[in-house]
Amino acid sequence: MKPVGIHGVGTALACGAGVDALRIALREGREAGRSEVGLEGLEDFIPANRTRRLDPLARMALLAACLSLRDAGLRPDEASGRPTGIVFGTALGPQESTFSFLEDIIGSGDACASSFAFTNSVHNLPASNMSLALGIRGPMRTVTAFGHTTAAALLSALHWIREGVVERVLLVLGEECSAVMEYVVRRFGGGEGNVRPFAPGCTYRSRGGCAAFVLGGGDGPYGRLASVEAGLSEAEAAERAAGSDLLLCAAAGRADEFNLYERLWASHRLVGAYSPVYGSLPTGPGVDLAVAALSLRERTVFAGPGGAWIKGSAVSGAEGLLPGAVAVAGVEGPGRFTLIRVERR
Amino acid sequence: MRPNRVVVTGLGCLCAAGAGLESAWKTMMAGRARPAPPTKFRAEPKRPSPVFEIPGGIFRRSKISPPRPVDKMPCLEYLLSALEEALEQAGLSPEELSGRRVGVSIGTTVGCTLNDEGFYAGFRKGLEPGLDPVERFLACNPAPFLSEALGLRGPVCTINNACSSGTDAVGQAREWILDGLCDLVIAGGTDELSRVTYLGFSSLLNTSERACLPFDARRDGLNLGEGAGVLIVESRRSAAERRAEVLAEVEGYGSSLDAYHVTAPHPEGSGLESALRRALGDRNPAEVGFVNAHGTATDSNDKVEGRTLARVFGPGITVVGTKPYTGHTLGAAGALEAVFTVQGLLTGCLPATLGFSEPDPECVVVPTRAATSVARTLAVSTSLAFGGHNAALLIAGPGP
Repeated sequence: MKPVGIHGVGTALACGAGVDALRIALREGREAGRSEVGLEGLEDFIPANRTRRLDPLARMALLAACLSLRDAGLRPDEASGRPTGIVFGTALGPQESTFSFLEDIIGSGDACASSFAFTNSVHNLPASNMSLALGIRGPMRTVTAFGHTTAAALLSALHWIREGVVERVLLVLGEECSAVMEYVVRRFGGGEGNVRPFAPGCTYRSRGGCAAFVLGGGDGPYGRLASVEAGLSEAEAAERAAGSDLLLCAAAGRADEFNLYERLWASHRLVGAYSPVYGSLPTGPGVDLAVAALSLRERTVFAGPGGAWIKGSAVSGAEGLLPGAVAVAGVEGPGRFTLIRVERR
Repeated sequence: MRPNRVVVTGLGCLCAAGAGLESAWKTMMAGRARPAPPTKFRAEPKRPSPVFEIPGGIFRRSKISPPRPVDKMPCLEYLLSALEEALEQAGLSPEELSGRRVGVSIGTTVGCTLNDEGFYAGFRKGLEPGLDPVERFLACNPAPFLSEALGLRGPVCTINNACSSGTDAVGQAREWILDGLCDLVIAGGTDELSRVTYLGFSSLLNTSERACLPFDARRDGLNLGEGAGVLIVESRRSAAERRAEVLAEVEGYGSSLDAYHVTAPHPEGSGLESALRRALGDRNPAEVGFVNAHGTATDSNDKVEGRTLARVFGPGITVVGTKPYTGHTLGAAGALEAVFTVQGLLTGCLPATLGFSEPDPECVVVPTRAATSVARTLAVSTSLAFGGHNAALLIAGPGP
């Protein structure tokens, strides 16, 4: 099967924009805390007059996309130079625009419905705005299926590249955190402080953030996507993950997660969850994929914050391990897992 | 020819034209439609427009036991109704699918959006509203819901590519089967009428105050609708092993972006042409017997779509627009129209594009004026969406 490599990574997270900011946060164990996602820097890629009307999710996605292109050695105007597709994954969609539309009709009446807010509330608008800003004319898909989102998005990208539909895919996974979602998380029992997966009294906290990837044929500097599997049972996921040096669990910090992930840990010496760095995100496996890619490129197991290690630690890993294969596990639903394996030879 | 061909073995639909394909097709072939002001909600938009509602009680309640009640989620009720019909035709029961690697690929727009006005009204007043609407939103995303309801283990994806979502969902099902991820996929689309989309489209001033008229010189906008379409898509090998009747083959799929404008199609239709050429693959466009067009009856869509179809297939291509019978069902539209395309191939006949009488030279193509006989070989279904996205399916008849 034609290998598909990770050629560029871009992130817009609470720890800052770009893989360097993510790397520093992972090395130094900085937690997301109360930080907001910084969107500064977009104007370095796209003139401000072309981005000023974008809503927060579209801005974040475009920033992450541009950063991933730069990381792959491409300027924004070079994105359209070869056949390129866009896959955008979001569980919650453009919240500010969705609620802004409701605000107008509730606050000012039906006749004041805003065409601008309505248009931007459609989930595929961030992908459309990437297409407009970068001149990309290939296939596009916006997927929105909660725990299934990351796997479904990756499967689309893999098919398009392997079948020669496009040469590369700009894959962007992300969420916006609105005031409404902060309220929802609080009412569901989420905490105000740092994310603490698997810990006694674990807490989760809604965050925004995006991770973007330039995927293409052959091995990339971040290695290759060895496999993407969806709908695995607990036993199947544990078996598939067994050959990896490091297992990352996309745990958000919810109380029920210990039982969901526990059996996956059995065959691993090193099991981590970096959500304290980036927050609780439905598309968390996408950010973990960025962490996995970074680990492979740097041949490093990042220390992360204190709460990041479930089994082993970065210290024990650093002593004897230069990771060559990393698995990312995410819960899709009851008893169902996504398992993504990334390798670098 | 690919070793792992992708075929359709079941069809199901629910729309204003009828509950079930037989009923809907009968309505369409008879040239009947009754768009009317919305009754399911009250709204005072800038531009009132008739809609195509599904009357309560016209569709059969599904025997599939959902993991949670769906009575407040019309999207799911519609989807389950269409699914039951499609499974029945495919000779499958929910029980025999349970635990198998069966994929679920569903397009929607309303079905994956948290746009509950009551909840938001409470939030903005600081009233700490209850979370029932949020829990429904989290629990009722169509594809995960269906996969869980049936106990399936294959890939799961809800696509929100706006108005092309249903077409893309069928295209994605084809991809999964070609990739060997599963042998069978429940593919389709579902959407319900809501105040939010009604007011939203009205704010864009692209709705009509009368029945929509695709490709007609008098056209002035779309009518919204609601419904669901489901196709049982599987590998030919799987269908052969089950001895299932093959209704059609999903031979090609194409998707492309215009990179031109957020809500207007590229004036030259370059993105649509690219999607069509991708779907056609090695096929000669002259082999295509008819096109089930997106045909929203907005000025720009029909002009761009008509010109592009004429350029790719020739100005004499048989084109049908079915939205005068269903309204624009958004995330369900592509799936419903794929179902109608297969039905056209199976019956060798298409309905009239209801209301059409005055050709528009700018559209170039002239849609069906009456029930029309067509070749039962090859057909195309197209979708154009918000965001400058285009999608097309190439569907072959079952053959001799």
